[in-house]
Amino acid sequence: MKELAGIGPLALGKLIQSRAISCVEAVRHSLEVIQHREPQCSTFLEVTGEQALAAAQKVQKRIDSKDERLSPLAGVPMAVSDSVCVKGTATTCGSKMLEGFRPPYSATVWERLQAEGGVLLGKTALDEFILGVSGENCAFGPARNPWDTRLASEGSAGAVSCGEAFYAVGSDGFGALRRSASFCGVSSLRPTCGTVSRYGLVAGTSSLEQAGIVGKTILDCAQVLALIRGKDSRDSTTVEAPALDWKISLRGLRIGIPTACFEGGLDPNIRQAVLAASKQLEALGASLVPVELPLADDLLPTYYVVACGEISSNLARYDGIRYGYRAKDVGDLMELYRQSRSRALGSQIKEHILLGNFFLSGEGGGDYHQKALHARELIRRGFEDVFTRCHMILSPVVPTAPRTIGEKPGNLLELYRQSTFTAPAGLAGLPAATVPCGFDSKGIPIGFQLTGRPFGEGELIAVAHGYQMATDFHQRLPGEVGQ
Amino acid sequence: MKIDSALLEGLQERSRLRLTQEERKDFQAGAALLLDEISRLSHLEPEGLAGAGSPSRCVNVLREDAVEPFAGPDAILAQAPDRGGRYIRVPKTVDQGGKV
Repeated sequence: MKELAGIGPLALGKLIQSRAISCVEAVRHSLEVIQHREPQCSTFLEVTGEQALAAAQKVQKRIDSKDERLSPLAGVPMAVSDSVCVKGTATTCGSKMLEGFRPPYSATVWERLQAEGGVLLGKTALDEFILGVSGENCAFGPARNPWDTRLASEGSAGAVSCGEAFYAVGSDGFGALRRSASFCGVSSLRPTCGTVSRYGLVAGTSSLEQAGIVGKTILDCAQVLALIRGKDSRDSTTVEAPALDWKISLRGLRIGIPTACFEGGLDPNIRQAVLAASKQLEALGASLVPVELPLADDLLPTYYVVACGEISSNLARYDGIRYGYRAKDVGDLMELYRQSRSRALGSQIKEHILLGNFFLSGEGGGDYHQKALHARELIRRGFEDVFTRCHMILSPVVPTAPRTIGEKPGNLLELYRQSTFTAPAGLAGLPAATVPCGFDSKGIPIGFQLTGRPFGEGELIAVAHGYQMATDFHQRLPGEVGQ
Repeated sequence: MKIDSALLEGLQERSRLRLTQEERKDFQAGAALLLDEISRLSHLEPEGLAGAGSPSRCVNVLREDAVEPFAGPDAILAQAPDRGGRYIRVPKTVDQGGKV
């Protein structure tokens, strides 16, 4: 089944619909790739092969009976990150605190994909409670970047990059999914806040998190978004978003270039690749306009204070009592709380919980949480103003090249700085797309990011798709470049 | 803005966490650098503008707080990992520990 290497989920869906290949054959192909790749890449925390084959048989029956409710992606093998609850399947969110937890319900995103014929291969690795630079901070060991296995990656991006899964859905919180997609040479899409239900996604930084989609191309991501979007009575923050239409001409679209983002400590390889991409988009008919990001100096501090506060509140529920890890040999209730949390949570998570409590308490000489909420509103209004002058903003995804696993201990400031370009979408609830646009001197993929106005996913998809029609960076496979 | 040892003790107590000596050292070093960055926000004056806790424009609509008959105890009991008759069975709060 080698001929399936490199084809996208839509093409595979067509092959399945036309009976050129069966759903079971497609799953067997993915399981073979997983068996071959996992020893080096470790992108999955759990592979549910038997369930996938059983699900494929059921979907095949629906295809054979011409079930009209099936989507173009029916029968296509896919993965979800381990932050997505799947009923009866272990869901750890990359933390020993949740080791062995099997949720009694499924996330809405998975229910919707399943209803449309999605076939789940398993759960992919991610940073503990979705908090990290790009996958290194998983309690069960990091997933590896297929382009260079000395680098970490979120498992979803790695699995799509090396052809284990044809697309993946995870959580976009601190931006690690977008950063990993960029480092792995695949595309990603983060929808506008409220477009996709967060019901059943393990909560880390609630107001900053959205479901995130990874595919080889932005059109893959768009097809998945069309399946999972829409109001959900179980998530009161969801809305009926406007119709998703990406058949939009690039001519007349204005792309904002935040010139300050291309100065300072930006890696020269990244600067060159992203600026070259902007020129390509200009050649395709879009106009480039210089813009300034609102409260540019306050974006990261604001993001971080909000994120720490939400992490500390959300993770307060993990106390060793109701579910998850429970410490042994403790004398009293308070000690049970302390020991369970101290032993099962990773250092980085503990640091952010402490910081969150620090900011929320207002101790130490500043009411920074109130200031951050105030800044967030100003930033949101500032983006409304920016989007009167352009339809979207183009930026790098990350400021620097990825570091190798264990090269130096990650510290608080590293995660802070790596969030430079991914933070604004989370803070203001904006959609964002990332697509590959080059390689650095070591052969590691580079991507650019488009951040759009609320419910502007169609415009982002149109521009990213136009770029991918004119370039071939998204068609390169790990092993062809660098190494 | 600084997290000294006394403040860290209080934060650990409130967070129900206990850091090892090494974790404490790493945290204080990293936090010092980070808080320098965060202190950029000190110029903001939050008065006069409601802060945004969420990017959502949704307005919360509350239904009337009225008592209604509840017909689903069996559905709730069916989701419990363990049950004894009409009750959800849970582990002892302080026991031998391990996974639950």
